[in-house]
Amino acid sequence: MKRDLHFEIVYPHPPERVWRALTDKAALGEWLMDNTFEPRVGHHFQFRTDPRPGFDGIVNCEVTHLDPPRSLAYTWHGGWMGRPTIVTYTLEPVAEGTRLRLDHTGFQGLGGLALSFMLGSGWKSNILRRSLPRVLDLLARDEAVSAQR
Amino acid sequence: MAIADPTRRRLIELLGAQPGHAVNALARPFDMTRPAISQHLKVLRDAGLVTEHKIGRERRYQLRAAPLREVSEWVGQYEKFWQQRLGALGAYLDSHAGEP
Repeated sequence: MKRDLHFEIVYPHPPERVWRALTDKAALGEWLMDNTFEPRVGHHFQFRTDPRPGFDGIVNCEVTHLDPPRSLAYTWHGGWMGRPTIVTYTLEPVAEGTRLRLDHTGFQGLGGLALSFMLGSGWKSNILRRSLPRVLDLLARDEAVSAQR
Repeated sequence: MAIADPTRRRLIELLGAQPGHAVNALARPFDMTRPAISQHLKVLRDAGLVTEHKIGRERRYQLRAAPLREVSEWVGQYEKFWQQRLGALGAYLDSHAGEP
């Protein structure tokens, strides 16, 4: 049960502009999530979204690679993820503008669980409707067990 | 904060690698008492992730495949997340095209 995600999309904009959107805190907040990002390798930061039952709405990250305006990588560690996953952006200038490649890798086993809590559209899917009560119960028990310690 | 419990994740991995474990065998890799492991198994069982059946006086545990398959599909939900966000990035770039 392991899967990596890969996306490629061409934006009609120069790499420098795309790079700014990927590395500017305010810009990131507009298209991705509120954050404490800084373009510095080793910088620990968070993405924050609205908390939901069983998920505190925080993703912990660390910048691991920075090569402007070509590539950027950070770890991506949400609650219930056993190990951090890794998000990598690769920019390539093309005639039409910039080809952006996004790789989200390192999902393992149950690791991807809590991530789905932040997916707005995910709540509507049948898969989630079916699994959600069960997983919410599991997470609630987690909290109860932690509280007892 | 709902923290992932590493013991339960490891239990699931163990059961996934080889079904039909008894508690003793499951407890061996952990520095934990057998009752502590049983408690973790109960949580997994109550969540519908693990089933228990008795063979003689021994309880054996097995993963339930269906819910775990669903969980793996949640990575697919993440796929939708990024597709949406990359679309939002495109809209952001278009609306800021006039800037240097």
